[in-house]
Amino acid sequence: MKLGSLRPIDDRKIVDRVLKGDTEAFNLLVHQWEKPIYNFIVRLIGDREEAMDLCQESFMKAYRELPTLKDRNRFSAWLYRIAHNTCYSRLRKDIGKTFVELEPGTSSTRSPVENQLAVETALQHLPEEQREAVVLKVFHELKFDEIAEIQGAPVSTVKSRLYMGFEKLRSILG
Amino acid sequence: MTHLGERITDYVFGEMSGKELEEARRHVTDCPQCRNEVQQLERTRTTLRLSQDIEPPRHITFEVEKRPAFGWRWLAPIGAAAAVIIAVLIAAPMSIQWNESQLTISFGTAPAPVVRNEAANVATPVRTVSEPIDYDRIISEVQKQLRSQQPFASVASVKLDAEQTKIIQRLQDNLVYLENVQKSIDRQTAQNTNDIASLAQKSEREE
Repeated sequence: MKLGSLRPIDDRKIVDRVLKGDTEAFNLLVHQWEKPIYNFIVRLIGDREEAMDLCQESFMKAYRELPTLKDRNRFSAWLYRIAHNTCYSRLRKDIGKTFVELEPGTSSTRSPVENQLAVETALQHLPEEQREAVVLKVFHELKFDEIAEIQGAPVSTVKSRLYMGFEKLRSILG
Repeated sequence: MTHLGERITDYVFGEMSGKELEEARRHVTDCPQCRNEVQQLERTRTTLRLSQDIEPPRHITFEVEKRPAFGWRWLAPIGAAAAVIIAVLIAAPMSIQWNESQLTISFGTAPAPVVRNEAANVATPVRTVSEPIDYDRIISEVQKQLRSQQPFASVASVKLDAEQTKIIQRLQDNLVYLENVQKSIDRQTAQNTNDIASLAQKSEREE
């Protein structure tokens, strides 16, 4: 799902409606962005149930802070940024957490379910910034400058994080 | 052209265009080192994409509380309150007192009421003072309470998290335990009653 090109005009119209008092219109934004934001958080956090809580929290924050959104054409980037902040608050509590080691194997020898789990687990072995850069690039197909905006980092740093993340994933996943 | 270097991510992830892209393509074709690196990145990306997006376990829905028009909303409670107050005024002498948003009404010669301070859990006696009923104050107090409620309700379809489930389970266990204690006390009380009755009968016979 592409961030920059994903119907920004539609988002803007809905945001306008919400800000004019049609609070129920916010559900349209939730409906549109719930799945991508949830999957972004799952891959960042590695816990599906907790990801749902964080996803919900992100939308609650988005609703509360909607009047502060400066560029209404950039709702999605702003929403990802909120989800990013929500996840990082949670991740800071997890310093020192140990992750389950992967069973040896390659993508060709694993079943689809095993691959799904292997990818989710391998992502958890990356430092947070690298993991986020990989997730936003591979699964959400964002541009480097969009990821830089979400991470609050220069584009060159984002590219470096992505490259290093891929190197590590290659050694884990085979 | 030199090796792709840091621009390799631009090449693999499609963020190159025009002349730069053409040159990069030619270079990758001719350079085994860059070609190998591009292939490794593409292979890892393909493996990652085997992980599909999943559906959220539940859907988020924001619900907005719909408030009825002012007149209808207030008519019933104010009417009922007025009826009770008028009936009481006719039936008995009454005193009313406000203390930190708490309305205390006492009738006739009843003892002074007590306001419980929940934060400190200390019972504080309060002296009651007779005064005329201030309807405007009562209404504004109730309105203030209602205004303080969130107009935008929380999220629907929210499942309990693990911690909440544990707390509920613990409370249920405690409830079962207390029920058993209650039954045990009931049994003991019945036994004591029987014993007392037996002793009384025995005492009567001895006399």
